[in-house]
Amino acid sequence: MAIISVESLYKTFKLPNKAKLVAVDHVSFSVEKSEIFGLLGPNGAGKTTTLEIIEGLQEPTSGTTLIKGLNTHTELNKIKHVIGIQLQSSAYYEYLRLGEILELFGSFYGKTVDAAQLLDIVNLRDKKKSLIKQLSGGQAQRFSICAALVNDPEVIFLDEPTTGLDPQARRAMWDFIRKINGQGKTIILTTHYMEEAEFLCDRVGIMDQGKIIALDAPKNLIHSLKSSSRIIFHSSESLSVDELSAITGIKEAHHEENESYILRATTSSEALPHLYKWAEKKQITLHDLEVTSANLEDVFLSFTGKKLRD
Amino acid sequence: MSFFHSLAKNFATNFMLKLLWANLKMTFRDKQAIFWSLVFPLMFIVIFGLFDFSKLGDTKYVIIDESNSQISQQFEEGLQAVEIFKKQETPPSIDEAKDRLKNGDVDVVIVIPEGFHQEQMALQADGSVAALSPIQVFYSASNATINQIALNVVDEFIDQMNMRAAQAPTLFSYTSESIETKDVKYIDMIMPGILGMAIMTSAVIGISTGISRYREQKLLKRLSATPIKVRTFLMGEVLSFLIVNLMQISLIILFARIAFHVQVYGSYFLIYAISIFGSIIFLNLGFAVAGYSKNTKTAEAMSQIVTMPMMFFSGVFFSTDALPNIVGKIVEYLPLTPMIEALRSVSINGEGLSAISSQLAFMGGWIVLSFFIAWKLFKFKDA
Repeated sequence: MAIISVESLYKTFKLPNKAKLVAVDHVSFSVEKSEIFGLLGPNGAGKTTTLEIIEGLQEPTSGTTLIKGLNTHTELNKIKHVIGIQLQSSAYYEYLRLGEILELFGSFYGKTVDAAQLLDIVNLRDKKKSLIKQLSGGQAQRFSICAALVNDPEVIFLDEPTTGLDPQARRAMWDFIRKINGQGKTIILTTHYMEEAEFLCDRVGIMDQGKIIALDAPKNLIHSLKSSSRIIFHSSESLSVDELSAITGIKEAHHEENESYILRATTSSEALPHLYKWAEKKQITLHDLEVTSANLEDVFLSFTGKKLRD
Repeated sequence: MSFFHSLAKNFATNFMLKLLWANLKMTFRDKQAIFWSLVFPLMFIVIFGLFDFSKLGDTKYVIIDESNSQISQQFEEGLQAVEIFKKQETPPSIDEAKDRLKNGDVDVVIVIPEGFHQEQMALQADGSVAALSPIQVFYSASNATINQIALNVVDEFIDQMNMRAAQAPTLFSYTSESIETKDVKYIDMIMPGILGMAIMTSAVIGISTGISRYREQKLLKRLSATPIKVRTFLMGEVLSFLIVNLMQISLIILFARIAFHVQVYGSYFLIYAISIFGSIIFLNLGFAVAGYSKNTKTAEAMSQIVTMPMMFFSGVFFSTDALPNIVGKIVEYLPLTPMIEALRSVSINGEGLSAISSQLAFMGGWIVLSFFIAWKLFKFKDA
């Protein structure tokens, strides 16, 4: 049974020049209990707005958002006890220690919290007496997730949980999110990192310009692509792109700088034997041959015709 | 009713207390807040407490008494009682005295004219008292500070004599008394002003920058995701500021008493009541500034714009009587002016509730007005 359902969500903002900006354009989806659901898309795609409307922090222009069957706008007071929220780049009290912040936030929910135990979840127990400004970026981000857990929520909203973190801190964060999910909590997050969505999410909704353009498990999205792998090689000779793309199993060929060629193949097992044969016949050496499988970036590209991080 | 009901309920559920306690902890960990609310006003007390007028040097004067009457002798005795006035040897003539003034040997020359005697002060038929021939005071224009003090002393002395003369049926009933003035030092005058200033700056600057920083850091948004009510959050802020204000004034009064022997002649209860009253006005103004300002920087600048004029014109450091007429009229309507007037009447003159009722009424008006402005300008969430 779906724990979150979003029906035909629509949100517009008035721009200073009185034009209308459609931030969320009739978006519908649902999130199952205990899954990690991701909204993937470039900046400005409408991910945060969608999330904040579900959280009840912003009012929709039209459409409904339900959590456990409760309307998140008309029954917000009940909803607040069910959900935990981490906002994008939100700070906490500057002059309170981490433990004190958690206890104070807990008291807002009428709960007595065990700060040390909560901090344990994100490996910050030894920082219980520190102030926020004494934390690194990754630690501060972990703490803000920790603060979303004070009311022991069933659903946790994470808005760009790893933005601005170095790769190592990002990896660590993924582990913490998995760990929290492992305790049976449903997680809905936004990200513009396709690796993150691919690694972390059970299902991903890809958003662009206010719309969900694709929604499925990352693997299924990739398998649905006409080309599921990419072949890259270098050659000192100048090769004909037209000839390359005529090879059986090759969908497209591009010539990049540094004498490198990128081929998109339906499947590598089909395309590679034909490519070898062609190269042998032409007496061309394929240097640094590399085969990678397609990823969500390719999915985004195939749906929108543009790159995710432009 | 619902306000007190929810207050009681919040205290019962205990998170109001938690919030209040957290706010106080934050204030005391914030060095900048501590500086502005506690150290800054105490610095003023120290500066003005150490500012001792007798250190400016004694005022040397000569007196030429041409009337040689009982009243003139009284006047002379009175002058001698003033600590910083030092009588010099009487010169043979007025011209000689003026020469000494020019040379800088003396600072002030006082001439009591011939007509200055009691017969002239006898009641006229219509019941009024005829004016005495004026006392002449000569001074050097080059020494402004000494002149100001000297003239004030002479003025006050003559005022007192006039008052006594007007009230006394017989003239001699007062002559046996020595003329006493309450020993009010400049620091006694300044202390109530500092109280008002401290409350104003810490409330306006504290609330406006505090709240806009919370907004900028999205903490307000984060709080709105929790079950805490906006009014509970605001109440926590207001109560913690009121507590800080109470500590402020206690500390300032205590310090002024111990270090500079400042006397509070009226009731402490009234001093605290006036302070809380004023504090509510300035907290409202702080919320208004926070609502108006888009970010913390603007809030800082705006609160300076709100507090600076009052700091200089509402009588913190000098009486508003000294201001030019039009400015004085405008200043009367600023909220800090009645607050300081009331504090001063209670502290220096020992006045009670009835004497400061008009000031309190004025402040009450400001509470309503400032609350209305804050209500209109303040928004909890980002638009």
